Amino acid sequence: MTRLRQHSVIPGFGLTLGYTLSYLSLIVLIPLSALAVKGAAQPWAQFSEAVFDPRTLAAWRLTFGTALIASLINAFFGLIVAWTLVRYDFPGRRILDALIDVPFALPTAVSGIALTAIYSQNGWMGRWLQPLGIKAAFSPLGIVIALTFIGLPFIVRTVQPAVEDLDPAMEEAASLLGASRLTALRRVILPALQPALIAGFITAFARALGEYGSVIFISGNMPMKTEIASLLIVTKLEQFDYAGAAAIGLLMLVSSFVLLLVVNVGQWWSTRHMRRIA
Amino acid sequence: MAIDARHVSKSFANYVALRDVDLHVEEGQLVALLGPSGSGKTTLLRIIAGLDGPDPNPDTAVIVDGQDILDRRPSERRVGFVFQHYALFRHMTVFENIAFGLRVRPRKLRPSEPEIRRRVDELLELTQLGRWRFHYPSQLSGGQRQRVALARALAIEPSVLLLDEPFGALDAKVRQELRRWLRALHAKIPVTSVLVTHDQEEALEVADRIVIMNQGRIEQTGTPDEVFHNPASEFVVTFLGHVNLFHGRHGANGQAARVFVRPHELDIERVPTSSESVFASVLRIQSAGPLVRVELATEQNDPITVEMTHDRHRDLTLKAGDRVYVKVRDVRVFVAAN
Amino acid sequence: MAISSRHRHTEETWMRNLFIGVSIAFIGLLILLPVISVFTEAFRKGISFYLTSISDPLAMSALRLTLITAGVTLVANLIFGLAASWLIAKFNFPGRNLLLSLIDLPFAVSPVISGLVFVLLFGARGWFGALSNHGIQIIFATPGVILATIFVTFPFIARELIPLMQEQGADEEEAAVQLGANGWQIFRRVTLPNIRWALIYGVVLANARAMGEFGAVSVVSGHIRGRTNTLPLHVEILYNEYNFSAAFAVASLLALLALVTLVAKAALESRIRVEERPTLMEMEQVES
Repeated sequence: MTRLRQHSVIPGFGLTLGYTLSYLSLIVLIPLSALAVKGAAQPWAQFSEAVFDPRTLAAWRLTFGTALIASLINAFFGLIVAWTLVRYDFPGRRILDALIDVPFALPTAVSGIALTAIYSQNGWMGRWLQPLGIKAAFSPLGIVIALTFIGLPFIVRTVQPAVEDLDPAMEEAASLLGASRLTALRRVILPALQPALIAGFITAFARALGEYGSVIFISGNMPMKTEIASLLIVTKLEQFDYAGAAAIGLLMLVSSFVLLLVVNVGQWWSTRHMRRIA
Repeated sequence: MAIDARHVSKSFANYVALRDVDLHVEEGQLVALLGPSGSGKTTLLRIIAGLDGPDPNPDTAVIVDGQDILDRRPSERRVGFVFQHYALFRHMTVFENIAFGLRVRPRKLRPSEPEIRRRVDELLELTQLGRWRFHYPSQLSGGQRQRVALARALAIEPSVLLLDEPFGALDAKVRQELRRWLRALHAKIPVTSVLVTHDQEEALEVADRIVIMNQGRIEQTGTPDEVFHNPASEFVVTFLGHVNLFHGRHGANGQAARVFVRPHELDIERVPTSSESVFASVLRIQSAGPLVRVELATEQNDPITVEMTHDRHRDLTLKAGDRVYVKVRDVRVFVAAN
Repeated sequence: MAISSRHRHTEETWMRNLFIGVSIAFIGLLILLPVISVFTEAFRKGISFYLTSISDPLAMSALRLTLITAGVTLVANLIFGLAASWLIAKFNFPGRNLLLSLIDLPFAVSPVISGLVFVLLFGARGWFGALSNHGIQIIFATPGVILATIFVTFPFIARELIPLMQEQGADEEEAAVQLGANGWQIFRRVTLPNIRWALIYGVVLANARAMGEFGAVSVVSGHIRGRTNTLPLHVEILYNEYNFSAAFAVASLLALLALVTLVAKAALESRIRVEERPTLMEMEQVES
């Protein structure tokens, strides 16, 4: 890495600093602080009424629960997919790799209606689940499916580099010391992948908490049953309950930031604790 | 447990690593596979370990302690392996690393926890790592990490110990210390060992026998002494130590030949004492070291280097530009025909 | 990226086959199926219906708004991205890391929140709500849509440029200064050529997000047909009217955009690796 000097001979420091800070404040900081202020500045009674309302609590429970389940599913399958993409070669590997990015690139409204079509009663998947008594669309299960769809790339793209970085000598050492492949996976490889897996999980979870477009079509949006928190905010806005929307929104924002912080601190901690052996 | 590798060949996509190689290691010996990069030494080691497979051939065999282990997977070969970059398990303590091979054994063969603890403690004692037992690899120096790797390999009581350039990633001083330490360890625990290295000083100092490899073939096998003083081929004599090249004539027909002489086998004199003394002029004198090195230019040959003791140098009182004669002191010289 | 052959002797065949099977099944069912269904549903009522749906005047105006929004958003965030990455990559100053985290903020924010903040700012009872009294309509109008989209795509371009420019360092720019070039010359002739592909990459990703953004825009737009509907919002309206095939028809345009984005992404990634990552190139030379 080259040395960087403060206010070096390179021109443009003042200009770019000024512009960056202004733009950042205008677009990001001021709007976010509006939420913080509007959310927090209201009387406590009003705030807690919005936040502890049974409908709101039901929405929180649902949002949190489905996000958790979806992220766990993604952690499991995402790990397998990331491992497969890095370690094995097979016809169609490149296509599989490209497909991982689809949820990133596809507009959420499009994924929303597509997933609904597939998992509704006559849909391609729905028709298999129906005789089993499983209702996918318009139920929490549908929400979990949509959130799984959305969160998958986060886990796979976070775990993939970690798998690529695994030292082959470490696995050879485990094998030579007598460990079967399964034992080596459990005792040596998984622990080494743990930091990336956790970071991916939290990122997917954070995204799932705030997801809107891909969920609102498949969920059915029944208050107290299949209404997610972000939809509740929109509903309150439509009813001009700005204070209520701000209250819930602020909570959502704070939880996103806390999760972001956890991921960053976790990564800093794990690079200190388990430094690469040079 | 003696090692007998026969008819081992290995080719990769764009080059041949081993060409029908036979290797024999006596029980309890420490043998060094020495050679430049690409000589095939690491490939041979990995084939013995089971990490790579030889080219299929009915005559190929890798026999350890009387049994052909070629069809066994690495985990079944009971081979101890030490990697150049340690390959320690980052998330486990030193203790857990060493205990690993014992803990992953199938239930029937696994010793009890107290027994495992006892064995690991023994090894920690042996490798002088006792006070680091609960530290993580990232908290250790390179030399310490390699000792952990060695202890870990020895924990499974291997029939054979294989070391792949074990000191290659370490500083010169640490390397020297560990060489001596390995030698002492081997005296205490005489496991049949094969050490791969490209450092000739290391091989000459540590090994009982040296196997010199080049481009997939074994050039010579012998004790360090034999290999250094009785080199069997041009490659061996140029690979080990410094060597001077003279062009001369050989035999009754006066065939053109390349004559290799080591710097300490030459002497400098002011007045020629034999008909084969070569006329030369002094280019440079390097006296910082255990011996004095004198570089001289000659008419027909490349510049030559002569090594002499400081006493001899004082007697000669040489300085740059002096015109002198170079004489071959020992007639034991290796001649290679073109 | 080559699959290492060193793993062959420590790998188990049954595990390999199981993993490949599970991966293909999982991705196929979860991801491939929805993508395919967009197109099959779009053409369910035949090609002429499809063409009518996408050429519908309301769809056209939605497309227009989407394109305008994307265009403005990209230009704004491009300028910002260049300024921010120049600042962060070429200079060292206290608070640099904080700035980096702040730039990443919009990524952590839910789309609905991203729209909510602007409603709180410019809505009737917002801080700048008075603006609407003077005829300047921000939310429930195009400017609001653009603002929300800028917020959501804010980090994209900067995120692509910053690590690259940091890796490339400031050596070349310093040399240019010594040779007498001024700021703009340095930027145009020295820096820009080195970051071309990463720049295009960031623009491609930002564009996909800008055109496809739903949640934030939904909150801010007011859903006024013909005026404040983007393409994704139009899809929602058609769907809510039970006009499914038309909804999928319009959605298929967005899906096509997504597929084109993925192809461009893959192509650009290899370009960037080859041309703009100097450290990687040096390593490869040493090994050969």
